[in-house]
Amino acid sequence: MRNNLKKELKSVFDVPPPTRKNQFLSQLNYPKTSRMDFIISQLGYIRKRTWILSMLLFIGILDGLYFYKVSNSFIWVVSSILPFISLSSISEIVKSTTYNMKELEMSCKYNFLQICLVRLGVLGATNFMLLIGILILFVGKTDYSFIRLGLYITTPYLLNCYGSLYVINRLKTRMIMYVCCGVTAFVSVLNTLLTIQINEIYTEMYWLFWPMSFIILLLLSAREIVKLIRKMEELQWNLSLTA
Amino acid sequence: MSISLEDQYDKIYRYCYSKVKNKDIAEDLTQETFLKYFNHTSYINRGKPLAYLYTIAKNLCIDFYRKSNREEDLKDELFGADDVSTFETNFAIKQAVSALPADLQEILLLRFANELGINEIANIMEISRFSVYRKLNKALDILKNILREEDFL
Repeated sequence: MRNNLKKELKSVFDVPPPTRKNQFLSQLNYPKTSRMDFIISQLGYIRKRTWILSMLLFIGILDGLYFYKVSNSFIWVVSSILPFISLSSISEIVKSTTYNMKELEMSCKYNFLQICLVRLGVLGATNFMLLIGILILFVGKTDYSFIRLGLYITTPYLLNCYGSLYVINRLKTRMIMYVCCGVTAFVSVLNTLLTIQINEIYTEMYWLFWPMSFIILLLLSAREIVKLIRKMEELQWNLSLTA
Repeated sequence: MSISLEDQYDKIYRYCYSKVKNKDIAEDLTQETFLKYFNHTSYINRGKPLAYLYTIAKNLCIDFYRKSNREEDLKDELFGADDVSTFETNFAIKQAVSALPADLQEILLLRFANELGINEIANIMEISRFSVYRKLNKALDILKNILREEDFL
C-alpha cells in the first residue's frame, strides 16, 4: 500500500512541461569541466591496489639495486615481475569493460570510450614512468646500454600486454580476470625458464631476438588496442541493465 | 558532484511551479536560479551544489511572493485544489497532499518527484537527516489516513 502511494505521489507533482528549456540551456554560459579536471577525476577511480602494487615493485627494485649485487639474474627477476604490473593495469580495463561501473555512469557526460582511454592513458603513463625509472637506476649498475636493458625488461611486459588484450578482445566472460592472471603467470614463468635455460640470452648471440620480439609484440599490442577501441565504440551504456 | 543541467532544469522548474503555481513565472524563476547559480562559480566546485541550487530557487520564490505581497498564499496554497486530474485516485491523492502543511508537501516533492536523497533534502531544508525521516513518515501517515477515510486505500 505504502509503495503504491509513493509511486502515485510522483504523478501528483506533475507539472506542465517547460516551453523555453532548450532555448535557455543552449544559450546558457556556464563553466565547463576542463580536460585536466576530467583526467584528475578519473585518477580517483583507479583502485588503490594498482598504485600500491606499482609502488611496492618500484621500492622492491630500489631495495634490490642498493643492497644486492646486480647481475643477469636480477634482470630476469625484474623482467619476470614486471608483467604483474601490467596485470594490475589490465585488471582496471577488465573492470571497466566487463561491468558497467558506477563511476562511468557518473561521468556519462563523456562517452565510454573517452573514459576508458583516459584511464588507459593514465595507467600507461604511470607504467611508462615506472619502467623509465627502473631503467635509469639499472643502467648505472650494469654493463648494458639503456636501450638494450630496456629491451630485456620491456619485452616480457609487452608479451603480457598482448596476451591479456588478446584475451579481453576475444572472451566474453566475467571470469576474464582469472584468464588474464593465467596469462601473466605463464609469461612470468616462461621468461624465468628461458633465461635460466638459455645462459647466453642476454649476450650478443641473441641480440637480434630481443629487438625483433619487441617490435613484433609492440605491433601486435597496438593491433589489439585498436580492436579494443573499436569494441568499446560498439558498447552502449547500461547494456547489461537493458538486456 | 556534477549537475546534469537538463535533468536539474526540470526538477527546479517543478519545484518553482509547486511554489508559484504559474508556468511562465516558474520558468522565469528556474532560469534566474541557474543564472545566479553559475554567477557564483567559486562555490560550485567546493560546496553542496544541489542544496545551493535549491536554496537559490527557494529564495527567488520567496522574493517573488514578497514583491507581489502573496507570501500567505505561498504558505497556504502550495498545491491548490484546482489541479483536477482525470484519474480519480490521483485527484484524491492531490487533494490529500494539498491538505498537508507546506513543509511536508515540499519534502514529498523533493523525495518522490525530484527523487533526492535524504542527505540532499536535509541540506536543502536545513534540517537533520532524522528530521527528514520523521517528516517523511509523518506525511505518508497523514496521507494514508486521509485516503483511508475517503476509501481510496
